[in-house]
Amino acid sequence: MEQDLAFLIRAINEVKENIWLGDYHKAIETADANMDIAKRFEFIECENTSNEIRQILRQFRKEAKQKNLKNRRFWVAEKVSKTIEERKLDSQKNLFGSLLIYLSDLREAMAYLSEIKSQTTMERYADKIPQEGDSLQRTDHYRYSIQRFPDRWEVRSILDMGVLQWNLEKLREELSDYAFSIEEIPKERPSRTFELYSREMYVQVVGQDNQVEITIYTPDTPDARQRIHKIIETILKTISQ
Amino acid sequence: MRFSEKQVKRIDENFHDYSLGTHFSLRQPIQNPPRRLRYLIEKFFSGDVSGDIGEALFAYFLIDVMNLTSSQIGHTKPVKRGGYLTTDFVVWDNFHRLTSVLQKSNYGLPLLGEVKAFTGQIDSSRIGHGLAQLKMAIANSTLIGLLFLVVRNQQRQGYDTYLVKVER
Repeated sequence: MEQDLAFLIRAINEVKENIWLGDYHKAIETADANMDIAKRFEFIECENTSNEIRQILRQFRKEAKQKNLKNRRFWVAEKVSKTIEERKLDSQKNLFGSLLIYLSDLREAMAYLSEIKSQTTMERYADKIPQEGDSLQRTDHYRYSIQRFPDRWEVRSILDMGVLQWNLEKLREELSDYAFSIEEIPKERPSRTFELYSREMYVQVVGQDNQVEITIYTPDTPDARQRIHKIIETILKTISQ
Repeated sequence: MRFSEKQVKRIDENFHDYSLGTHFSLRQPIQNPPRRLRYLIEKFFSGDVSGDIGEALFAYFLIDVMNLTSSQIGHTKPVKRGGYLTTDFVVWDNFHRLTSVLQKSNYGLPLLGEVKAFTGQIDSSRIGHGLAQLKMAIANSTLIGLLFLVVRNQQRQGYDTYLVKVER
């Protein structure tokens, strides 16, 4: 049971990472794959345990409210713990079941968002409005999405490798045409941050584990979009090597 | 993300506003939320943003101080809000990195984490609520609970943290 819980925690975190990126398709895929693995274990029993404990919790909370007890939470905790013991319900199975229910709820929300997103896209095409930002790109080593805000561009990316292996010297070489001044911000944290300055652009790159967020400030010239795409591609390609 | 439970992201940037107690207004979405889910705007909100700070500090403590990775930490508060019996976090410390803190080298997994944060006076009843939640989640098992307390310090320039081990 212990190992089963570990894979569920990892799966939920992976689904959340994909939601953060806006890759709902991948989030659904990850949730489905892990739900299938979970089915190999006693997952129905676990879900039943979680639901049974939820009912017990609900019942005692209601009772405590009706009785207008002073220390409601303590009374509920005492009653619930006792009932769990009496009925010999397994706390680990309860946790496993709760995580499974959470994963399935996330999956349902993603399916909904995915549908809404595709409808929005269709509406955009119908109105012949060109799509600005909000696009998801996939390559062999990284995935990223871009969002345009009135004052900046924001990029979210998931790399195949961790940020600790970033090679800034190589990035300096690759971006030498843009005359950037590149500086890493020293922080006593597991994340890494570096900033790129030029006369026309300010870029901040923040990464932790395999997640990267890039914020770009640049004047809104006609070629801004093209330049930004090129810089993003160069940064991500270099740091993911 | 409208569906995210807490916007811990960018807490560094907004730290000043959080500390001042600024409340941000949220936009009401047009579409109905999916089944069993509620929009953040409709969700329970105590009005005290210190919960965000407390949860972020707990994650920092586990990752930065105890060398756990983010994939070993499950934020289960949304399930708890859904009425299921869990704690704010479940921590998969498979390399037993918390041995020194727990003063125990052999312990069952996962560790159950409950966070209580205070920007003003310490409210002992809220500490009691955290202990009660851990008592229920541990119930008849040998699991260990961690009550992480975050208290704004007297100079109001930072937070002091305390970790309480809870076991049956």
